[in-house]
Amino acid sequence: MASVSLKNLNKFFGNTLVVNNVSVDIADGEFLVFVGPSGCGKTTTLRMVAGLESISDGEIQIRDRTVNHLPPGARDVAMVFQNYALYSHMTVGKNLGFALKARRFDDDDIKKRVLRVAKMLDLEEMLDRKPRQLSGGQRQRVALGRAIVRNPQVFLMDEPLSNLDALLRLQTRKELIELTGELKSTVIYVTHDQVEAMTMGHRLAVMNEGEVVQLDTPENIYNQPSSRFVAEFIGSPPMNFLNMEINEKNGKKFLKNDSLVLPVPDSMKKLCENAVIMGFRPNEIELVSQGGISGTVSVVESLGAEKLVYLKLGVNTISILVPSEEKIKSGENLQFNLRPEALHLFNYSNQRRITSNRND
Amino acid sequence: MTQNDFRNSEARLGLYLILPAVVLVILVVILPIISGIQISFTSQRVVGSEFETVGLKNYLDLFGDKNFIASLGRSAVWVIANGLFQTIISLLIALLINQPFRGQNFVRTWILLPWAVPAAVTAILWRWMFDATSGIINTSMMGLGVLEKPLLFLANPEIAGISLTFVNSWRYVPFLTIIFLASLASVPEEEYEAAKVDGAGMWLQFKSITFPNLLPTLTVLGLVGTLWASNVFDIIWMMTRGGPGVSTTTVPVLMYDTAFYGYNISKASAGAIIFLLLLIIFAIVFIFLNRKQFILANETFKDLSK
Amino acid sequence: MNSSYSVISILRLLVIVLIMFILLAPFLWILIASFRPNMELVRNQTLIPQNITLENYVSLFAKSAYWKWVINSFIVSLYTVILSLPLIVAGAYSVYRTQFRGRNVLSFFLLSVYIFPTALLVVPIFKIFDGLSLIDSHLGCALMNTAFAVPFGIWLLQAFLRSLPPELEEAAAVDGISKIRTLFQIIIPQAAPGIIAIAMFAFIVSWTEYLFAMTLLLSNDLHTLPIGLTGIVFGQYRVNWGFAAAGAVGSALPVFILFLIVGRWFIRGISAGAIK
Ligand SMILES: Nc1ncnc2c1ncn2[C@@H]1O[C@H](COP(=O)(O)OP(=O)(O)OP(=O)(O)O)[C@@H](O)[C@H]1O
Ligand SMILES: [Mg+2]
Repeated sequence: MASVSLKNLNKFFGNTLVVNNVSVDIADGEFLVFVGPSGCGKTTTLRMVAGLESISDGEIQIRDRTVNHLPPGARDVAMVFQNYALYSHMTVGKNLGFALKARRFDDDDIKKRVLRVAKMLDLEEMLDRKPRQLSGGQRQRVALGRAIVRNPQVFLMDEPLSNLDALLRLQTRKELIELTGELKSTVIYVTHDQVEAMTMGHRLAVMNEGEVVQLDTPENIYNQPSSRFVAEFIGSPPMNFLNMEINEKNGKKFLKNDSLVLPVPDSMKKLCENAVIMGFRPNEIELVSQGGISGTVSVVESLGAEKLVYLKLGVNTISILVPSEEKIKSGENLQFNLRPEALHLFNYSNQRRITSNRND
Repeated sequence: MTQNDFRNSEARLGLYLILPAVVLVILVVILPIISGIQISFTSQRVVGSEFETVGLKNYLDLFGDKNFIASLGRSAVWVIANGLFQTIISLLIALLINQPFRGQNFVRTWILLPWAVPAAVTAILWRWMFDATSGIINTSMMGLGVLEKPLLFLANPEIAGISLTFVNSWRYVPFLTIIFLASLASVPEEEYEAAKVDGAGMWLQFKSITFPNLLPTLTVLGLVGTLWASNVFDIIWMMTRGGPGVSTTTVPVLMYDTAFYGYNISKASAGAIIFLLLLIIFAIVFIFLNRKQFILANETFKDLSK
Repeated sequence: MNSSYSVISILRLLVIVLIMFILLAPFLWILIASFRPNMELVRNQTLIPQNITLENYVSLFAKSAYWKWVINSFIVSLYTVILSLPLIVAGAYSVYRTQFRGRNVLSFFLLSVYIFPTALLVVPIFKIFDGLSLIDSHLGCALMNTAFAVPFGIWLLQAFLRSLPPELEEAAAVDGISKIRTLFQIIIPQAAPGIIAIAMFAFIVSWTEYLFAMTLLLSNDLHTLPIGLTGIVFGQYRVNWGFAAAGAVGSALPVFILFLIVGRWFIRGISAGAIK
């Protein structure tokens, strides 16, 4: 296994910059997830690491060796494709062993390795079948097995679970976490699904429009999103945002808009902006019977254990999560409290997070 | 922008792989053309005979040769009748048999039979079908009282050209049909379904889905088919030898006759070169007008929608 | 709606039947004729044969060089297939699955073969082949057929090649498998239906060919079926239709058998895999 580092990577397609100055250091044995909305350049970044896409500018190192000019096969990486790319004319066994055979491993060794991987992935019964005789989940495991059998330095995976149905995806996700943990593999994983990213990644690199906008552990990204974009993208249902003015009264600062006034949390006293974007997650509220922020219920969606309630606060609509036992009807008035710690403040113009420990 | 080695090696391999075909074409096509140009400037009459260089004499002779000019005209009519007509008919038949029906598989396979038998068989088949005294067409038409005396399909200068066009189309339309059919089959069914859901009628579906998807095929067949038609020799030679009189003598037939029966290969070569130049001009104009269809997209095989 | 729909579909079926009749009936007619005595064919014919005879086949199989012609035709066609297949597969792979500068121009250049006025330039070909001792040789004839089968064959294979997902090659590349090995062990097996189709195409181009065989094969011993047959049939003042019919059947039979075996693969191999 090995560390991988991407240094100031750029990729142009024609004149459009689709990967913009991406720098990420991935430690040995780390599971790093690139996550971001569709078209943000995740796949392109991964393909550059694989060597399938040329590098317009920057450097890629695997185990401290620059690999920019190495062909894909010489980088000792294995890749799992979204559509699996199984060789449909070969049996599962042949698919698993093909790369080894091309590298002139001897037949016994190939057999041993293939069997071991097949056992690991529960594919022993299927070694003689053709890919078209497998279910989607089984094909996915063969694709994974084809990568594992090579025992590569780095695994690259491009949305490997996206072709599976919801239940199977959950199950395979768990298996994949266990498996890569056991193998202590370095994994670079691409997904647009933030739940998948949060549950699988040791660290996430959140991408937007070709740039890595935040690189951190899932917890830190969830708790301290670096920008409004990250805050909105990570976490479900997405965070609420309200534009607030900052007023000062009696030496105390308040966040204010047409329908609510809140004290600025103590930790953010040094705030000097006079307008901010305030964010809070739908689940970080507390229903109260009186004295809270009040709004009118417009829509109620049941999510099973919880209800997602859309509230009108003046001209804005926000969403909150409440336990499903609460009996709520639309048109009704609701009141809730927001804890100061639950508030995220973002700069109005550049949308960056306003951190608490700023000294200006 | 730096190219990486993976793409470089791919490019090199691509070039190596196409090279043998290119070499063969140069050997078998370009060299003879050069040699043909050389011969056309001489007075050579048969292969291996004595000759001297005569410059443009053969060309000037040909331009004054009413026979040659007339054969150019006949070739033009032949190309339009065959190239154009066949393409349209094939497309129509392909559209007709594209939708499933009982026996579709049989039709898809056996429709090709006329194309797959030697031209010699075609010639025998149709000379016999067309025969004045014993041909089935004439005997049955006369038996039914439709005709009073037999139609001389191949011996009447007025209709020999039409008969040949029919036979040549009988031979090539099946092949073109199958190619159109293959290209129709490659249009994803979902595109039609989406269009139907959007309320598009038959004509709109054809205009906005079928036709654009067929266009690359149509363009290539339009070009190649026209070139094939212009160079048809075997069928005409075996069925009428250019006759009766000179009524079906197209340029290829006339030049072949000049070379091997008129013992004048230099004049025949000059005629060939003139004909070739005309075809080249046609091809250039055609390609220029349809240039979009001919440029392979940069990422031909990469499906960006994924 | 429903009834007009079925009227249209019946009409459509009728047109299809009519087309197939025009295309295939002559074969049936000539098959029947081949079993009738020549005299019966020349006199005003009846639709139903009066007499059945094998005399035409006896003169074809026993008194003409039929078997020699068939073998010669097979040799030339086999050469053509063997020569064209690698050129077409390599060329199609190059044009449709790799990228290099000049790809466009070269693919044009190849299709430009068909500009070549074959009947007119057999003279220079004859001269050039004479120098290479390819005159009066099946190989020389096959070489010409190959040159005319390859460019269109490359184009025919494109639909199939393009329908293969690019990830197949990328997966192999990441696994360190060489491009050449990928071509042989992944692309070619995946493209098998397409390759069967172009083999058929090359075979038929050669099997039906007339002009090059007529010009380049001088000795009677080397004549292919079309040359031998037309030599006898059209060489006489009065055509012996009985014999001609038997000869036509004898020449069509091999492709008929070929079609029985692999015919339905042709369209599958030249389309992007949508046909079952
Ligand atoms: N071969 C190409 N040529 C031109 N532009 C391309 C090419 N491949 C990708 N792009 C563009 O680059 C951008 C990034 O694409 P990429 O495939 O990396 O997105 P992604 O983050 O993987 O998205 P998704 O989640 O939808 O897979 C997109 O805007 C895409 O249109
Ligand atoms: Mg992607």
